[in-house]
Amino acid sequence: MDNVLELRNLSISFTSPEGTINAVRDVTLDVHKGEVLAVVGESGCGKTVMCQSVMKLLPKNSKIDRGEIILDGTDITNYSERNMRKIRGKDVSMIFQDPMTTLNPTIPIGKQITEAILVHNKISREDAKKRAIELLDLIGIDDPVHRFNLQPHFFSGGMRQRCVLAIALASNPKLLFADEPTTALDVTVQAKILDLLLEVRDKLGLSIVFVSHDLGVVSRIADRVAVMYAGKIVEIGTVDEVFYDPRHPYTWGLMSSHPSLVKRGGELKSIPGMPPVLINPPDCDMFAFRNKYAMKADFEQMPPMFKISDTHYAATWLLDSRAPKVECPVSLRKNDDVMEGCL
Amino acid sequence: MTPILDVRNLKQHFVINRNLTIPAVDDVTFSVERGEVFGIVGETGSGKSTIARSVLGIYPITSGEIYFKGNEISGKNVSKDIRKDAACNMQIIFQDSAAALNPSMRVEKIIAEPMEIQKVYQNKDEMEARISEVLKQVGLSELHRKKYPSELSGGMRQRVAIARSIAINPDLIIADEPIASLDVSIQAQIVTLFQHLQKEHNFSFIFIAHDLSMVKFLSDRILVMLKGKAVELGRTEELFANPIHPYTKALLSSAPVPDPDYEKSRVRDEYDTSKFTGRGVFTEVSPGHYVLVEE
Ligand SMILES: Nc1ncnc2c1ncn2[C@@H]1O[C@H](COP(=O)(O)OP(=O)(O)O)[C@@H](O)[C@H]1O
Ligand SMILES: Nc1ncnc2c1ncn2[C@@H]1O[C@H](COP(=O)(O)OP(=O)(O)O)[C@@H](O)[C@H]1O
Ligand SMILES: [Mg+2]
Ligand SMILES: [Mg+2]
Repeated sequence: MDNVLELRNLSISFTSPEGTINAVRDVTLDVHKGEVLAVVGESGCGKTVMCQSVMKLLPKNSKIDRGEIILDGTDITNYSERNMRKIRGKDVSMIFQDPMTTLNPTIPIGKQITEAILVHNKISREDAKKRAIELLDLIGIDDPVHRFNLQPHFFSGGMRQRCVLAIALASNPKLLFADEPTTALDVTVQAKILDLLLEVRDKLGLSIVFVSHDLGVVSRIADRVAVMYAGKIVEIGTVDEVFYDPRHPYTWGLMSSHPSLVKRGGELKSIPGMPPVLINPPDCDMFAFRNKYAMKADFEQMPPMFKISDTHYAATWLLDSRAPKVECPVSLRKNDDVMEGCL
Repeated sequence: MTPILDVRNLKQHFVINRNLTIPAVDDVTFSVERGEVFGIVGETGSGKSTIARSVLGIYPITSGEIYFKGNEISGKNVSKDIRKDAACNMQIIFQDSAAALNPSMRVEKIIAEPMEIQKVYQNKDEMEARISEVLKQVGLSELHRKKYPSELSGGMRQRVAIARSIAINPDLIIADEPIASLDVSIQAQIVTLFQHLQKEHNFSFIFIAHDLSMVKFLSDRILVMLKGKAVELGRTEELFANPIHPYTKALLSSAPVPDPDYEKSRVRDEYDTSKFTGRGVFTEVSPGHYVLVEE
């Protein structure tokens, strides 16, 4: 068993006054043991909803329409809240962009971590406390014995995110969802948290699904990358495949809007328009409406996932044998001397 | 030529109580040339927004001088004309400007408001024409004129905020993290708009951001702030090629770049900001390149 998570044809929808929103559409995805899988895409593409579905933290007005969620070999698609409580935090955990969604502002950090440990481990409070201090040490909080009794407001944003990570890791989960965990942090702090996540992954051997819209961050942390658009995964591959040999025009668009890939004074090539609202989405390539390479087929039929290598797939009709040859417009080449526009 | 903005020895110290004063900005000197994009970077709390608010006169400064188009605007004895000129010709765009738009006003009214307050146009038709013009400049259409903010996406609302601030044709736009909460593709659209305004209409910009790659892309010069102090200032190419202050080095080497090979082999410079004293002299080490040389 090499996958800690398997999503099979997962579809999730929301009811809204305007109609049914198909937020996640027929997603099939594996998360390998010990890997960091990054999920990228513009906001509203379904990244958070996909993570929430595994945690069973979906908002009340949503439901799983179809598909399966297999966590470490067990089908949890229809798990009750009672069953979920047994595995949430223990097998699978989640951290968010704002650490205060997890932390209670009035309770000392150490106590919050201790409680998180006691939820799933039948050990004495004394032992749990010891383990909490070990965790604070692991996530790089200096002087954990002293800091143990401080409330969250004594901590900086970066330190709070570390504490949230300690809580998430309290019961040694196999899988961690990290939903934009560094977006609100300063770059120097962000760099340290990314390194910490990699270190924790190596030490504890857990898998991480890292949601981000920052391609720089993804380059740093990911082993594999899934690109999501309009509720679907449109490209997936190793980080090298997706960055040095992207195949989907949406991936090209994301890369071309990044300032590091353009010379100063040059022009960013933004993707025109915005992601669509997913009410009654037509059965076609939803990116076609913003895609200057779109062909007739894109408006008529949903492209399948075309295989590029054993690890690299993309859903675009450009990969069909009948399609005209289109050159990737982004000039990121492996082993190039660091790009002209690059930091 | 006189710079559009000249900030000399700016201090903004917030007195919290008898025992606590926060030196949010401490002895900062810089100037912004006409048509220039001037970037300000630094960690949260380093004083970037306080510089912006002090320049705009949102609160009186502790000490120092601020000149706009050669006229002092910071002292007590600023004439009414100069004050009005500064209010008209300096505009700010915040990160959450989009959220701050009046929800009960239509887009056209939101854009017209500063023009009405400043009484720029006597004639209604002229103002209507100007609204159409700025809508077009920010990539919105006549269709958006009658909409309310709630009917627009976040990126569109931010464009409305920008349209409002450029409507009276300011000389200087201060953009304080104007794109931080937006998607990369919308960020790119807005930054492209800034470039256009700068090149075609010779607007000057102060661009404050914590995304270094965007600041690098857009700015002619960059000021690096740390704990209220200016630690380094220089032309963008020079600063990136030859950063001198250890904090600048740490900052530049932390900014992630979308290139997996480069990222994974990259060595970061570390700098413990708790060791930073802030005492020293802001020294010109090569033409136009200043560094805080610590004692
Ligand atoms: N609470 C909600 N109510 C209604 N629709 C929602 C809700 N949360 C998310 N959605 C819908 O699901 C889509 C995907 O949202 P999300 O997963 O949060 O996007 P991402 O994390 O990629 O920015 C959104 O475009 C929105 O239409
Ligand atoms: N009105 C105020 N009163 C007291 N302290 C303030 C005020 N505005 C800002 N500060 C403090 O000044 C410092 C600099 O803040 P700010 O300019 O907002 O930093 P930045 O924009 O670089 O994140 C911070 O320590 C902040 O808490
Ligand atoms: Mg999200
Ligand atoms: Mg600020």
